[in-house]
Amino acid sequence: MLNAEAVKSTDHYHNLFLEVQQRDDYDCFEQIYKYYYNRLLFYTKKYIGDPELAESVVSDVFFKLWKKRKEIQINSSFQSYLYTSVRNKSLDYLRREQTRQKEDESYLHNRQAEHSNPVDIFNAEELFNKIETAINTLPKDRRRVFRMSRDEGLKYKEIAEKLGISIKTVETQMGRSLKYLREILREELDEFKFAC
Amino acid sequence: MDEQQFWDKLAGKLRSETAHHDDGDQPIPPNDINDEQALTDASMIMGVSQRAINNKFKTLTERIMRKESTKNNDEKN
Repeated sequence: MLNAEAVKSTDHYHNLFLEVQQRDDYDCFEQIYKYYYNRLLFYTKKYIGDPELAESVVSDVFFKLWKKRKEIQINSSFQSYLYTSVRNKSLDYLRREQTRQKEDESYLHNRQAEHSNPVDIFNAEELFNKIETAINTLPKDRRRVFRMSRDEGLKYKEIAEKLGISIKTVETQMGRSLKYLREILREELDEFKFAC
Repeated sequence: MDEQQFWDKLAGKLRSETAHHDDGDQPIPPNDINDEQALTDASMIMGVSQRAINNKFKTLTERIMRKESTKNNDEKN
């Protein structure tokens, strides 16, 4: 089950999309994009091994979301709509690839059966949230360095300058954080990767 | 593989995954990470930085604007 915070977020972004639909609000669209980009990319990579292609799928889904905003009808939840859109787009790609490569037909059928499950969407959200939660359990200084690198995209040199520490210290902090996160998330990461 | 090899490999992987983002992405230090599995885990945990997402949103906005502009021109004609 989704926790209360997750439900609140889901509702919040659904409401933002209503603003997009009713008032063509591009700021709301931007907020949706920035919240869901990594989540959807994370999920899409499960289907499509090629990271650049996965990015292209996510980008196309957002492009269409804006372009067709007036016609889109959300029957379940907005979040499910987004995940289903990237899933379908990914399957379209796999279908084209399959035709192109003339591979075994059962391959795509198996993948469709496995991924047409809402639990799959839930697992992707769950893992994404677990990574966020795990990062919050890092010691304060290490967490700050990690977030400056991961979230803000700062280079080690920039982090070192901002915090007045050496680049080597930043590297060490990042390495330790990553090792810790891999250890506590090992089971979930393996489960997610091998579920496809 | 030794530490330097791991570093080079992960840097290459992240660069290829984020080739058209910006220069904000960078390799993760090796420490005790020593296999292919670790490379995948690292890339999953790191995701795409906010800076790169901002740039991607700009690119999407330009794409939308081009589309809108083409649509407006078509309507005029």
